[in-house]
Amino acid sequence: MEVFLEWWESNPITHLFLSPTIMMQAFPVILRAFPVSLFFGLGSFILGIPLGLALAFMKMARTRFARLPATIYVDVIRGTPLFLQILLVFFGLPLFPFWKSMIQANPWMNQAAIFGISWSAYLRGFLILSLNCAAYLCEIFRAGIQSISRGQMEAARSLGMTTPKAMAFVIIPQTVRRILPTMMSEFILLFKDTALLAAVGITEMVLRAREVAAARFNPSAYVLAAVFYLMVTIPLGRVVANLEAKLAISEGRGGPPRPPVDTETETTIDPDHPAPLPERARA
Amino acid sequence: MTEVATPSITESSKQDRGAPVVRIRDLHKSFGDLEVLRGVDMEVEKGEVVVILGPSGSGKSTLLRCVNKLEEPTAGEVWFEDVMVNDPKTNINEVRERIGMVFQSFNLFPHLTAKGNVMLAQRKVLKRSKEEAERIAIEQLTRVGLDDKIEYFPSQLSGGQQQRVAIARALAMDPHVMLFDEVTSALDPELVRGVLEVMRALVEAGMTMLVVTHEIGFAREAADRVVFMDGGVIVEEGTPEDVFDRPRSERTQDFLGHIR
Repeated sequence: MEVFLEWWESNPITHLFLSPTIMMQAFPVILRAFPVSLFFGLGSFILGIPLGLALAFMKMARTRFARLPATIYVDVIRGTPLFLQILLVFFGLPLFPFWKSMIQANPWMNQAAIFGISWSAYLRGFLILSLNCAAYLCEIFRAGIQSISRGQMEAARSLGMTTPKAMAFVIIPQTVRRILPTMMSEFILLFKDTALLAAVGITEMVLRAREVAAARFNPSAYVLAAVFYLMVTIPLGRVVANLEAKLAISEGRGGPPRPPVDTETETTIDPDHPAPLPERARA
Repeated sequence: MTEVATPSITESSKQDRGAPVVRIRDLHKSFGDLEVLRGVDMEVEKGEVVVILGPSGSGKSTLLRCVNKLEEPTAGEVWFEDVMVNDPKTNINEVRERIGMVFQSFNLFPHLTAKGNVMLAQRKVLKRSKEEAERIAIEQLTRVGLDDKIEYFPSQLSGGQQQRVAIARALAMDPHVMLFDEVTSALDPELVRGVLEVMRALVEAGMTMLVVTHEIGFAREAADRVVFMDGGVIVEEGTPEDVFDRPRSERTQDFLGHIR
């Protein structure tokens, strides 16, 4: 065993990328940063959902006054690198007078909050990540809602439902099922992109890995960080695949039908009512 | 409140005839430059079954969709009982509660079971209790012969069964009139019969019906009045015997000659 370990650490490839000693040292450091990455990813994603939904409805609005700003916003956000947007917000926002006065009025904002990251960094980080995520979600929502056939809205309206009711009980539930896999893929992308926050000094996993790598002159810590990312992305990717397969069944695109649930219809039939039609067409 | 559930179709009968349920005055509808309806006048009395025939593009579906304002008329008036449907001040949702509509493409809600489909608007529009809505849903599904398919999802049902769920969904709202928009056109021939049987039972029960269809057999035996439309106007109307056996207009003769 010791011989093997010696060989492992002396071999340049295994030593440089998979050194157990370095990884053991890096493990607690990266583990402590793991919730930071998850927090930024999950938090921004949740904030991005209502924003994205609002943008989607704006893009589908009848008036150009609503459509135009949403279209420009989505095009700009999706057409520029997230890295650039992060730099712009992190170094640009503090130059604004309103930001300066806000920090002056609330000095605690520059103090460290949970995980040793300042409130003002959290604010900017969540702001740009959720704004970015909202633009992508907007397109997912819009495509999802528009993929529901027009007849669904007509059927709901013909039953006397208002447009908001039809949206809430007929269109959105169908949309959610249809776009859930795409949304989860979007979350995976966002979660990986939290690594870009390292550039503005937020101590998420990649920045912590870089600290260890620089101190020990050995990139094994990066490999360990990669493993942490994969622990989230691979299971989620599996979930997405399963969801897609299930969706294909429930929408009637193959697969066995769900077994019907038996009901106690006998007891609820009104005796005063006409009997069921004697003959039925069967498929 | 529990007695409200009794569908109006069982209460009304052919004797109550007379009061107009739907009145259409000089109705025009254009889509851009295309004038689909060019002045249609029509009246449907309580308990009356009116079948609208005509070649495709004659405006018959558009006419039907103007009745519950799924299409907004360009000019003219559509009246349902004592409210003007196309008056901007009219609360269209209240009007639609009382007008049942069945579509060519069923338009069932795929995320809900047959029962859920029939319950949704009862709960959200009529604000019926869950128990009452459920009881009525089962009642109406039984009436259309689907008491054994209550918990099935639309994707597990045949086209004919789906269409019958759609009819039950409309009936559960206690409509004063039912609009049928080519409801058998998307069905395989062997599934048409079950849907037509349900519609015949509705006729028997005295339901006021406006039916756009190509089913001449149904029109002949079930209709009180047949309306033949072409080019956005009513070309001819009368009893089934008049229109089918003694058509006056050449266009009607031509059309009937083609589909026979």
